[in-house]
Amino acid sequence: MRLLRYIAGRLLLLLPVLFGTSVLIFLLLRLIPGDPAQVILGLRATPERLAIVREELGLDLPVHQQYAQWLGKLLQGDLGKDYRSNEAVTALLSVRLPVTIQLTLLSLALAILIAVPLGIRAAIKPGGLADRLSMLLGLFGISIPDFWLGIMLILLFALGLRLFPSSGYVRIEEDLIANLRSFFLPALTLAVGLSAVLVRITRSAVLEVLELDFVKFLRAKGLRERLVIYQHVLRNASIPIVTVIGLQFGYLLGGAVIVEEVFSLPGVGRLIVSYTLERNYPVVQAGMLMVAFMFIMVNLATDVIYALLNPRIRGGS
Amino acid sequence: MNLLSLRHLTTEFYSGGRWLEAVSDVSFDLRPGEILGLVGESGCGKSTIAYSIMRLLAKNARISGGEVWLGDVNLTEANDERLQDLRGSRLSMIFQDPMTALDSLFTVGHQIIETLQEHLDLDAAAARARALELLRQVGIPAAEERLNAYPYQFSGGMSQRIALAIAISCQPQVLIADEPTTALDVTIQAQILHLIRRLMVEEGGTGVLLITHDLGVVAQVCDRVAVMYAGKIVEFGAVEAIFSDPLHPYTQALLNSLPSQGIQRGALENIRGRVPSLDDRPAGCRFHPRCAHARDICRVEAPPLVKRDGGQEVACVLYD
Amino acid sequence: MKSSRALRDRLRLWYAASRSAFLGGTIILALVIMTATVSLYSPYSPEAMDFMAPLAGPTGAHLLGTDNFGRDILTRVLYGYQISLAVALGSVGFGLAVGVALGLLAGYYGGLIDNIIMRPMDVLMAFPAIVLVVALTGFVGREISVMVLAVAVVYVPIFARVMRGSTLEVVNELYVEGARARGASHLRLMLRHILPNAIAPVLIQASILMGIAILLESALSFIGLGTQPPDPSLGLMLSEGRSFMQQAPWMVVAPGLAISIAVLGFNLLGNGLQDLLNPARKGGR
Repeated sequence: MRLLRYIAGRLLLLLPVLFGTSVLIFLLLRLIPGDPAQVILGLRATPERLAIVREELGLDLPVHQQYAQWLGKLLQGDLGKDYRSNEAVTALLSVRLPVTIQLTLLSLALAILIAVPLGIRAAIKPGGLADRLSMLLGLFGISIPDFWLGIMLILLFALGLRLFPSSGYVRIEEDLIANLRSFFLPALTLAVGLSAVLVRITRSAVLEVLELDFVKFLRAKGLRERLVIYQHVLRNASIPIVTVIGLQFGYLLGGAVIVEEVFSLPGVGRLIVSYTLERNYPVVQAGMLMVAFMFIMVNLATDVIYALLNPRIRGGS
Repeated sequence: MNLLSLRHLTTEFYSGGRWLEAVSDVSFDLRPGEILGLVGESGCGKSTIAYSIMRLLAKNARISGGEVWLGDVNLTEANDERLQDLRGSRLSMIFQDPMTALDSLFTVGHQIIETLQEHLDLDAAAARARALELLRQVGIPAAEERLNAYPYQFSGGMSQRIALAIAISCQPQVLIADEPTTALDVTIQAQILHLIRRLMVEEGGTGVLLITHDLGVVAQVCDRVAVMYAGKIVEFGAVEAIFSDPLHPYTQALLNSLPSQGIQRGALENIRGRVPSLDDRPAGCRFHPRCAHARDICRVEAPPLVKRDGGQEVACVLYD
Repeated sequence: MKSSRALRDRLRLWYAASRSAFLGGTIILALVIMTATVSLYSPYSPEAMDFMAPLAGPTGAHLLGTDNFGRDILTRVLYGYQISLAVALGSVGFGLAVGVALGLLAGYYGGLIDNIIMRPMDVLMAFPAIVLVVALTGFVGREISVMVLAVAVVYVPIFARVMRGSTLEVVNELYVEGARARGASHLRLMLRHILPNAIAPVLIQASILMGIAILLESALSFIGLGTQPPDPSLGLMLSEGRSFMQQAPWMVVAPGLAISIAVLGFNLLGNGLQDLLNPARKGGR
């Protein structure tokens, strides 16, 4: 009960952010120079034709009416039409979104797999090998550009050792193994930067928990060290770790834009880049909205996990 | 046979580039069925003794000399695996602040049961039954429900009861209680002390090492007491003997600072000077700069702990 | 003789205070000097093509090899730093000026003004930086000035948040209260008493964001939305090199390494300054 009320409260707090985001995206694309009608018709269009197309698109209305129209359609699940192909944007997104979601989730999993065990070991033995490794990862992971790392991985593992494909994408329904192989290098590329941040926060969170009294009591009652660390300390340290993962998810989504480009993956990031270049407003609007929406949803999920970890919020017995 | 024997225990801390003695040449025995008080001001090394026995010293501390025997096991030489096996089963400890001693993310039931299953060969149902029994034994009402409650749902006194339940869950021979009532209200203090005494009798033969800065606590429950000053035991003996006829000037000062006849006097303010810090310990008798009876010899020679007529041992040249 | 010893002693002192900050500062200083003076010592121009030696590997004449047009890669890398640093300086400078002003106002006045300033900042922060920058540069134009502004738009809320936090920390300090009691105006309180005491965390953040701006500039140029050919931008060189990475891997190795070194420098400096400001956190990094 308490958990449900907590989630409802979080959702309520998200509404203004969602509203603000939609306004921002809408304004961003209206206020900057460029005329969509011109884009559709090309440079040699007559003023009369331009006026007709503007009216069709509702561009002759005042901005607030345009926004109301756009939001109304948005709430009905209508994201508009691709200027070029005249296809529904939702159809386009339904193909592109799964790629980005799979990419970000796989990198998240990889980053956790790399950073959390390393951060724990670094905290248990400060100055040891794991600690030094985590320091190097923490520094180089945020200094190396992901697109360059991706190229280097392609050079080494795809072109050199021929272990993975260098680009392209196999749908998960077609062939799971080939799908995972096509995602491995991009996911790893994206995971390195995140694990750099994650390894630092894991190390400092575990160090902090190790100082707490209850750890002394766990040891005094003779609990084996493995349980002390991996059950009690880790669970306590996971609260700040989960918070940081939520905040860093935006980094993953942003990185996906670049990494999809490097590995030629047909995701939302690449969609935004290529349709921005051809000024295809409805598609870019929808893509940005999806990215912001995913980020906001992940932060909601973070709050829920946080609540599940914390009995005070979850409500005991 | 003694349950626990300390022989010339010396423990050091690393600070400012050198090792400093926090505990110097401490020896005593803990007998079955007794509560031994270890009393002194904060910083005198009494908690360091507890952590030395448990072998749970911080990374910047080490045992540099002497031995600690738990029955026939030399704790100072035991390896990590052996120590982990002994802690919680034959040797337990509870701490000063019960509100932080439990992991706030797990139910108290889980925290009792994991201890039982670590040391005893119990299945889930048997462990649960035993946990219930323990909660009742330490006086937690509605034990069945409280098993699934989280630490934040308990008061300080109740939390200390739960910590005690965990500490005695495997019927240890030795229980170390480090200031177990300091963080609690006065009325709750007495309850916890009586609970410790009662459990010890019920368990039959458990010995308790009770660490406190409070002579009142010593008077309430202890059988014998060791008075510590600046890392050393200065006086040791039966509680009645020491309270009725304190020999060491420091013990006398401590007793004088106790509130008597309803007049609260400032704790130890009537001893001039202050407790010396680890890197600033005087030569000779460590108490001499603050001692009203100090002689020349006190400045150079540290007196050994010697048995006197009253029955207690004292480390002071006044009685040579 | 004497002054050189004094300098050496001072350098040693800085080095001892924070090895990381010293190392980072040295890297950045070296890069700045090298890129500012490159036209004085490099025998090549960044645009000079040599069709006799395209895709040549590293040699004595071309230390890092040449690209597909026979242009000297080392020279182009050094000129590339000029664009990187210009974008970083411009965007951090602009973002810092606006962000600090907003954060100071929000933290000082609190209440309604705080909400009016900070809630839009929250919305702005709901977008991944690169997505916002891609949209801005993509629609407005692919010029350096647009890139600078786009990155600055991303940075304003970050600086505002940090400045607001540190303003809140000092706004109730005694010296502020004292000045207030002596009748100092709001403006004077903010500029003379709060700003100097609250700016340190912002400057640390600025060092880290300089590095991130270099990453963003090269990422934008890499996907074709930033610097346009034939200008030597590190990201652009990388994307051009991709087509030749099997025959001439140095074309992708050199610019990427160059970006990494510069970003590493700013991160080392930022981390080091963080340690200096807050020694207690050093262990926790």
